[in-house]
Amino acid sequence: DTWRFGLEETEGSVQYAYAEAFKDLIEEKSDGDITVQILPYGVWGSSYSALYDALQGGAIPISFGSGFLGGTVPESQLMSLNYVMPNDQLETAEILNSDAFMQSDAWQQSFRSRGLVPLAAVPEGFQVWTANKPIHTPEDMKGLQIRVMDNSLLRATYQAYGAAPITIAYGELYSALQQGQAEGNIQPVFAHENMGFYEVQDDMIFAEQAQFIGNLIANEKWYEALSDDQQKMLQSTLKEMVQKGHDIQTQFNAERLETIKDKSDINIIYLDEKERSRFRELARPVRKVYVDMVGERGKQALDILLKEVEESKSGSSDSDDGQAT
Amino acid sequence: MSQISSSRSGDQHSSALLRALLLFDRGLGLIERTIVAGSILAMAFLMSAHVVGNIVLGQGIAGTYEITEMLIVVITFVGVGYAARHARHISMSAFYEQLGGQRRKALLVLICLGTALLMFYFSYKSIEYVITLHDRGRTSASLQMPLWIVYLALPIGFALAGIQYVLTVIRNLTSPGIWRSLTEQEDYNDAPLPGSDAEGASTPDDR
Amino acid sequence: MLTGLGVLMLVLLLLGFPMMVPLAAGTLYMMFTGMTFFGPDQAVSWMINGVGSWVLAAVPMFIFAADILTRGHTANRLLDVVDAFTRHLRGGLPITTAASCALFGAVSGSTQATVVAMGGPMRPRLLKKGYSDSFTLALIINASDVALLIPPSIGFIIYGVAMQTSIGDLFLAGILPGFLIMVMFSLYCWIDSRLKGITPDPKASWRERRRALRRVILPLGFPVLVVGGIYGGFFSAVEASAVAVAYALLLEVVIYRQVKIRDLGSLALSTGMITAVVFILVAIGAAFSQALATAGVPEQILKPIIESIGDSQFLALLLIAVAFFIGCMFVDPIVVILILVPIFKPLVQSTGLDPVHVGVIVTLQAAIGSATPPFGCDIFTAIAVFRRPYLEVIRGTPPFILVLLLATLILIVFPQISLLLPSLGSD
Ligand code: NA
Ligand code: NA
Repeated sequence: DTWRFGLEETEGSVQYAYAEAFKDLIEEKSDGDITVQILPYGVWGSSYSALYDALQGGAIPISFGSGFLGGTVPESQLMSLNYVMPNDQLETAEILNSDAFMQSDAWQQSFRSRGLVPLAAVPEGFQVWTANKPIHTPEDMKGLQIRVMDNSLLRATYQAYGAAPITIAYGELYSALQQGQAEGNIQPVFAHENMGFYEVQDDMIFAEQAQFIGNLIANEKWYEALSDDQQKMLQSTLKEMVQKGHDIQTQFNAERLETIKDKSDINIIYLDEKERSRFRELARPVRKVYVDMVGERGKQALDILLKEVEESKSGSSDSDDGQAT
Repeated sequence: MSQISSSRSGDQHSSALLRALLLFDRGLGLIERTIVAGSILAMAFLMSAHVVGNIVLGQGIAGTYEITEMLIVVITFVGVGYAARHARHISMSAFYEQLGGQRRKALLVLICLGTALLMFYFSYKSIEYVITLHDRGRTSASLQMPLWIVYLALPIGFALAGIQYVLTVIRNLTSPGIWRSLTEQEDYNDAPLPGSDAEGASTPDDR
Repeated sequence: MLTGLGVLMLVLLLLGFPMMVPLAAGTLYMMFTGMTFFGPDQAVSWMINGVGSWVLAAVPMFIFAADILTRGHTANRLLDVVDAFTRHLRGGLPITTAASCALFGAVSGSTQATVVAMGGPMRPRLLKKGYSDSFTLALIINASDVALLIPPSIGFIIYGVAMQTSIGDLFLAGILPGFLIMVMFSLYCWIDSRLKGITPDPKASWRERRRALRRVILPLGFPVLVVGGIYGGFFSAVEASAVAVAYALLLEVVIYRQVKIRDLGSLALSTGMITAVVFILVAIGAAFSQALATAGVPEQILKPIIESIGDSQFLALLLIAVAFFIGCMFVDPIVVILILVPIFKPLVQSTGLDPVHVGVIVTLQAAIGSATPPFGCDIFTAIAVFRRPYLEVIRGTPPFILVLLLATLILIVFPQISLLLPSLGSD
């Protein structure tokens, strides 16, 4: 059997390294009965909806889906809400992949009603801001033309912070930052490095407001057609991959941050708990925007997630109460 | 542009069938023209308003990117039909131009039949795709607009193109001479003269 | 099965089927024979995603702007100035054309938009001066493609992501090679006009030049607005295309009143038709190249050659150049970069080649490829816009392609040309 595995990223990315580790485990456990074929960005196409079409149609039965998945599974935008997850990245990975959340009716049905099954959630590192001035407070962000994807939830989030979010195509972003059309940018560290965005920005701000989450998704028909043994093998592999994925991601982002520090004199800022709390305050009402946008099932998923975060609050000193809105 | 207007002569002898077809064709042409030109104007207006908003108000129009991309899709696929109507699709015609008389006509009919077949196949495939998107409830990411409505442009455009190629076949089989489309007759070596198209991308005069 | 694919497409192409037919038939052939695991449903998705892209919006918008400016007076006023200053120089007009295309393309980032925006008004003048149409078309197409080497360039961005190398360094690295090619093109134009015996016109008087300049004050707002707006950070290159439309309307409808509001419908219609004729090939071409990629065709062909090449840097670069050149002849350059770069990445690493230099070579091939038959987007654009037969459009291209291949060879032998600026840039 061949399991085709589609990625939203190219070779040399977090998703690629994750897929390779996943491939090794599956091929070993199945004694070679199953081959995993990795299809990185570019091979299946270059527009994410082509990947989601292949996933929903079954041609590519396993795939990552992240920021652009909103049109296919609106509830998945839960992952781009700010200040919902704990600050500890491993803890985030564990909560997202816990049975309580991942196997919850709300989360499963959000995907299953579109012919998909959510398998796992893979945090790929914090979404980090860059700008040409230091940002410590919402006042610093006031009127900042920060680039967001063409996505209403993200726009609402940054409007809540007081910024003036601007939409720019990914391919045009480097020039836009260079010429100053965009004054700020939001990406995981590896993307800042990979696309060279840091070369044209002065400050890099870790506000720990959100992590970049890749949803690992299967085609529902394909998943249900797997034998019980295969499903068990897949699920046990996914459990192992939680820690492995975290290791891959932290190593990747640490290395990439080193590269950025080596190659530029960008000013790196970590917001402290007090500074973060002001942004958190402003981000809270955006949860209502999410709920209004995606409806009851999304609200349930959010409530479950907040409850899990609340209960596990160990390492994250500054997570807040579990009310959705 | 002279090449088109000068060659619309055979129409007087139209049979009833042809007249009916021409009427039907004119209706389709009106729809195509409205959609294609309207989309271009809408795109220009939306994008410039977005830029002005960004500069003047620090706030562009939400969803500009998305709508622009949708408009390109509409222009492309509905335009396939419109371009077929004016025999403007690009081809490598060196061999075709070597042929004369009935042979050339036979090859043209073959090309039109084959192309029509392909267009109808794609029309059918894209109907399936549109239905699937409808059932999956796929929406656009920014404005949450149902995408199946936008992508109706595919089955419609491919069908319109297929119809044009079939009409061309009918015209060729019922009228003397070689017809590149229902209403455009081909002259030998009718490549436009240099200078006649010096206005570059100007419009073929439309009926 | 690969042979079957080739024969099928070639026969359909040569019989004179519309270009979309061989591309579509090739795609379906791969799907029905199981060369790729994707079915025809995916072809529809690929077609939509192939054209549903923001960056492509620049093409219809620049065509629309050029249509408006050509219908009115602006384009001619601008060209009168060029004429007044260059007509006494041998090859002056074609050299100015080449430079304008390269500059406009560099800024707009779209080679297709450049073919329309610059080629539209320039072509009639060149024809009037006695240059042949094939030369004129080839000049416009190829000079526009140099744009891919001059920042901002989508080719470099895609390559940078696929190869994981600095996009900023790539941008710097493209500048000198871009200039080198412009100089080589100018030389060719000079020689060509000499050989053809096209005599320069008498020099324009300063009085005439001043008059031309005065008439061009408002039209000059066009380049100032587009270039200034992009480099001043007011809008992106794609957005600039809509600004160009707005300014063209302001000039021609409001100020000069050469274009009536009611003309806009027919102008938009002609823009839409040209867009559709080119973009349907972009759409089906996207499906074709994606099917080819998932069928593993590039890998099957290249893997054995790569293994036999050893660690010669020269051979490696040559192979890369040839592979990308051939790939870009048939498939959209962006897709070629995305598919071939991962295949060549190990070779680049094992031979110790500088990935930035490789990026320049690759992007140059992509540029050449957009102007190379049989499938080249800029060729299609020129055919659609200027309404010339396919063969006539491509007849003039061989000398330009030779110049570009010569440039490739020079760059392979002298990597310093690409690497000088990035090395200065990084202290
Ligand atoms: Na450029
Ligand atoms: Na080509």
